[in-house]
Amino acid sequence: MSNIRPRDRDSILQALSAGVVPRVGLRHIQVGRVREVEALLRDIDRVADAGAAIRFVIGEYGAGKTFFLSLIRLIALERRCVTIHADLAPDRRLHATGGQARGLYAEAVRNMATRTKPEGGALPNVVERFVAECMSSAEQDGLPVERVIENRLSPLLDHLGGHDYATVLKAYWRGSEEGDETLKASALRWLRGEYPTRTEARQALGVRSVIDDADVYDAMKLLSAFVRIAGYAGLVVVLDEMVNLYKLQSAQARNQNFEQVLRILNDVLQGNVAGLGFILGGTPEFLLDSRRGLYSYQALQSRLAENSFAIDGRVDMSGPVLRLQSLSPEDLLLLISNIRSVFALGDPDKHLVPDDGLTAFMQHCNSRIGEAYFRTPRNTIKAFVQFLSVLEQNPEVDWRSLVGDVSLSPDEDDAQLENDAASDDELVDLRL
Amino acid sequence: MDWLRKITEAIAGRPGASRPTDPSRDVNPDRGHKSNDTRAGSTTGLVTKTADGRYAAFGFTFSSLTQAEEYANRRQRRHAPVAPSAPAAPPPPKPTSRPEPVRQQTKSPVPGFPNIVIDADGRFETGNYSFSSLSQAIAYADRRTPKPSSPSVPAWQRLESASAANIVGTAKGLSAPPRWIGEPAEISVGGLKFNAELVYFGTPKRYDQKCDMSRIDPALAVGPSSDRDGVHLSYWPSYQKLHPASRRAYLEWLASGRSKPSTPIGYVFIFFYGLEQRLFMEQSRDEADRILGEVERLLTIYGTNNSFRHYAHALLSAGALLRPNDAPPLQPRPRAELYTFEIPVNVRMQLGRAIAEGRALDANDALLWILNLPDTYLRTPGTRCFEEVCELWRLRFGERHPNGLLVRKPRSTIVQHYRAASATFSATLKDETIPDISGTNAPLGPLRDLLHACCDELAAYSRLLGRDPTARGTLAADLLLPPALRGSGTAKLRETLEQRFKQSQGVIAAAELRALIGEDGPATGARLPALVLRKIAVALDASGFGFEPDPRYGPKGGLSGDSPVAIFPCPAGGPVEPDEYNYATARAHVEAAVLASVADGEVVEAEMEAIRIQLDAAQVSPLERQRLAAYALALARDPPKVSAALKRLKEIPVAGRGQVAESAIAAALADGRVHPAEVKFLESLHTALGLPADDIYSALHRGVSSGTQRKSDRATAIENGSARRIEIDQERLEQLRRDTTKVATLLSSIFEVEDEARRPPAPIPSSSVMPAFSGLEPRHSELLAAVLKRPLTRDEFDAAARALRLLPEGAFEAINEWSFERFDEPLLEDDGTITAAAHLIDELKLIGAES
Repeated sequence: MSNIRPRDRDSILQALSAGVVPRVGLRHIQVGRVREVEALLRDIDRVADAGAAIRFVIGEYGAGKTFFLSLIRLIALERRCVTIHADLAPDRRLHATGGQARGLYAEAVRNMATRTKPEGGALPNVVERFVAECMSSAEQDGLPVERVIENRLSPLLDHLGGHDYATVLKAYWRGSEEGDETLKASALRWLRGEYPTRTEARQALGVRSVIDDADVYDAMKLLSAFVRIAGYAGLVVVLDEMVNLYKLQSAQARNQNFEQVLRILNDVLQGNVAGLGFILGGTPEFLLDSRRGLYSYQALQSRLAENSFAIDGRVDMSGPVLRLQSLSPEDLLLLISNIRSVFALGDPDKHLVPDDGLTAFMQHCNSRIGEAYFRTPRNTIKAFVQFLSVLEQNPEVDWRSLVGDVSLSPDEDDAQLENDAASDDELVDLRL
Repeated sequence: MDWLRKITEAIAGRPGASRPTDPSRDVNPDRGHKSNDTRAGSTTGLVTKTADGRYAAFGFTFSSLTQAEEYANRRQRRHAPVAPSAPAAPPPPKPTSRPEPVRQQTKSPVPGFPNIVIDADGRFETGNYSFSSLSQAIAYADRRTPKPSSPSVPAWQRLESASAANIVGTAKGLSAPPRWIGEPAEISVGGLKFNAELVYFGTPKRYDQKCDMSRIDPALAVGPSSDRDGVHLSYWPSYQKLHPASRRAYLEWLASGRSKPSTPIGYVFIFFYGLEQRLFMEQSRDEADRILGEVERLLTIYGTNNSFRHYAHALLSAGALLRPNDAPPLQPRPRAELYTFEIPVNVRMQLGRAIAEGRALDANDALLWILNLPDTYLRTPGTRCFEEVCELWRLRFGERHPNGLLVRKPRSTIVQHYRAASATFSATLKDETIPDISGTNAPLGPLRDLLHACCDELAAYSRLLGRDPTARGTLAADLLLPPALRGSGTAKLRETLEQRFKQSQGVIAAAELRALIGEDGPATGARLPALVLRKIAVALDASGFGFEPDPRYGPKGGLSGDSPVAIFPCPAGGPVEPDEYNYATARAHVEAAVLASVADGEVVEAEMEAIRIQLDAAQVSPLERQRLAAYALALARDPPKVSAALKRLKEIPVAGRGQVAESAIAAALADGRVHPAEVKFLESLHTALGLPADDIYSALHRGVSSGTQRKSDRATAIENGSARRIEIDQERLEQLRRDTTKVATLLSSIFEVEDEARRPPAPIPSSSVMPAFSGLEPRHSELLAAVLKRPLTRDEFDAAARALRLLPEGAFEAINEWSFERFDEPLLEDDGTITAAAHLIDELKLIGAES
């Protein structure tokens, strides 16, 4: 907390004033939720330790799910994991027949991040790191590179489609050897699951299968095995906006997707997979709705039911469901005081507004948009950052005169966001 | 004809059944004797057979021989020589159609009574009148003829004496001076010696019939045998006229203390005649108390005799006038015992005195008055349960006239005529100081109505007692009484209920309730009939308990034997207005909440507690709250069908629906977890209420995930007032601050772990080309060195990498990975041109990298 780097400060403030989750320095603004963070941290550590984990992060709109998922993802990266993440959408789901599942996989892998490339698009880095290591190893041992790749990837053969992985990676190596950019791109394309038909894949890479709608989860397992071979600790899959499954109209489609969730859940809880973690974000109705939510799927319902002993304030964080509570006024107050502290680089003497200013600011927001501002902290934060910026650049201005001028509109996206998750993709657009 | 006889008796005051009448007693033996005589005679030769087969006698024909002989016999007797002269006999009517004079010769004088003759039909004639019995005739003759002075004994007595003379062993005593024996004193009559009191005694110089009906004259004969059955008693018996055997019986009765219940009433009357004579004719006020007391005593023994009861009451009532004022106030009693057409004088006196003193009449007086009106008819309830009617009267009267009933003082004063039971005298008694209410009518209408109302109120009770006289004091009877009169039955029930209430946390089976009120039925299963339910309701109301579900205050659904019923103590069964808005809404809340909490198959204490808390917040009276709490208890044990309940909930006005849903959610949340079944119920509830289902999940989510949630949170979420101030909970803020510090520390430990590692930036001695790049592969080091020399474009970088047999992306990754290890930051940045981070270049230089 004390040492905030100017660089972090700028990127934090920049992100916040743009209304998105900062990439760095989240620890400076995270308020509370220590138990939740600890629980997820244990999950990540388990994944990094060749274990498996799954969490349903359930929270209302504006409860900070996205922020929380970002934080966890950054922690995962910090623990030398590879993360892939995507938001579910009508055209991106876990199981489908019309390419939607493949779409989800493609989106997630496109967002693949490593510690060195946290902003996404790290697939080539991972692949090349693997291939390069294979090359140097081949050089040392005097073996053909292709043989080394095969040897290294031999554990993948246990998995569905593992054989083709080796083929594709060899193709990538060939491409880089021969300067054949098309071949490299094809290999990456195959890895991202972007080949719609086997014919095309066979023509381009000589493989017999593609990653299809039906085996997205298998592809993820394969990927996790691959990144571990490539030298990373594990794979953390972050899927947000799970509520889109709940919104599926067809009961059959819903159930097939929930079946996938159940597969994942079973595999993870039974320890059938290694180095793979799932963090799924959704709204309460996604979990609770007894007709269309997870609770509608009997097998999930019993597995997700809460610990019946964790009542009366006793908390059990070991269950797969983690609930995020919406921000309370106190949460918000601490949050903006943290932001103030970021502005001052952690030096209390440089605070731009006194504590009174914080409450006055909140009071002001409250009177302007009422209760909604708790549910949409994003705009409040944005306004506060702008408020402090003005104060910083105009030291002669008294904060009291400004409080009346902060313009704050209710989150216009509110309804839209509920319906169309695609527009709430601050994680996807998280760039600095 | 029974009724007619009764009426006649009532008017006369003398039932025929209880007292023998004169003719059968006095005349029959006489007559029998005579007929025997005639039958001894012969009719032979007087009857002849006619040509047409009939029998002729004395010119008449008969169809049978017997008839003819009979007739002949009579004729013969008439023609027999008897006393020829019948001076008083009127000339008999002349038969016109019959050839033979029949009646002229038929009269025969009665020996000893010159004025009386026996006519042809065996009747006794005197002074142109015919009597069926001799004694009647004698009595009449006595009255007609001026009394002869010479015989000191009247004619009828002579007859007695004559007949008495025939009795063997007649005991006659000496005459004694006439006197009244007030205090017990020994007397000796007809060989009997005993202590007598309250009797006249002695032989008068002259019998005054008016006074001497009961005087014991020792000079008169007393028979050796005792007529205990009263065979010889006449209608108006008097001691003088008694048969000697009866006299003995009378004296024996006196001697034995005048209390043998089987004694014929005639003897009692003889004694009674003396009392009334003493009291009214001689106006012996000093002895009034004693005499009245004695009459009251007799009344208890012989009161079953209507005639005696009537006279005794008449005496008691009139006697009150002679009594001193200090008599205890009269208690009301049913009028049916009295046969007078006026208000008994003692009642009038008691009321009159109160009025004279200007006192208001109290309930007792008023009831006394109304009951003693001659036209008051106490209906069956009044007679069957008189005690209860009195009690109820006092209550109702007190309600209507809390200060008593003021009556205007009437002008007339009390005058009472007393007609003696012996029919020998009448007396007029007066008290001019006491106003007489006989003529006052004004207050009577309302009082009468009040009495009728009391009787009406007790009608059901009375019918029950009619069916089962032993029911008094049982619960069933108690319940039919007005609440104020209820007694042991309900008290017992209350005790039982209180006990059960404590034992069973307020919930018992309907069948048990049914058993408690004494109704039979199958132990379980079958529904309780509506009648039984009503009875249960009444019984519990009466014993100060309410119950739920009570069909009177809620849906009309029935109860089966094993359905749980919640009982709760409250006055008068805790009546509520079930359709009142607040109550109905609160009830719906409870229903919804209970359904929500039973949805997961069990109701835990926390859920009930949540419901209670909600009830406390509801705008209902304490009584209603109590009832609703009980309702919740019962519902929790036996939840209704969801569909039926939801249907009912639909009737809630739209405005209240949101709150119903709120309560249901709160109840479901109370156990701190959300069961899928609960969610399912809440969904159907919202659908039924026409509310958006989306709210459920947020609400459930809010409720579940915060063990430490503030209570007000839910409340603030409900209200939409935007004007409210933000309240910062300092305690929570502190807690949060601690959490934040913790999490910041935690995160720092994750993100800055390498910071610590890199702190000792010791130059690593290495065999590689550039010691600053230690840990980095030589080829990668070369590539990095190239970048450090000058920023490379993407293509140049790729080419450089390929020249070193490196994959460009892999090299980038590897170099940055190394940089993370060293500096906790990526070194290379890719913005189209590949550059190294400026501030890291300096650090690299510090540790000895070549530029």
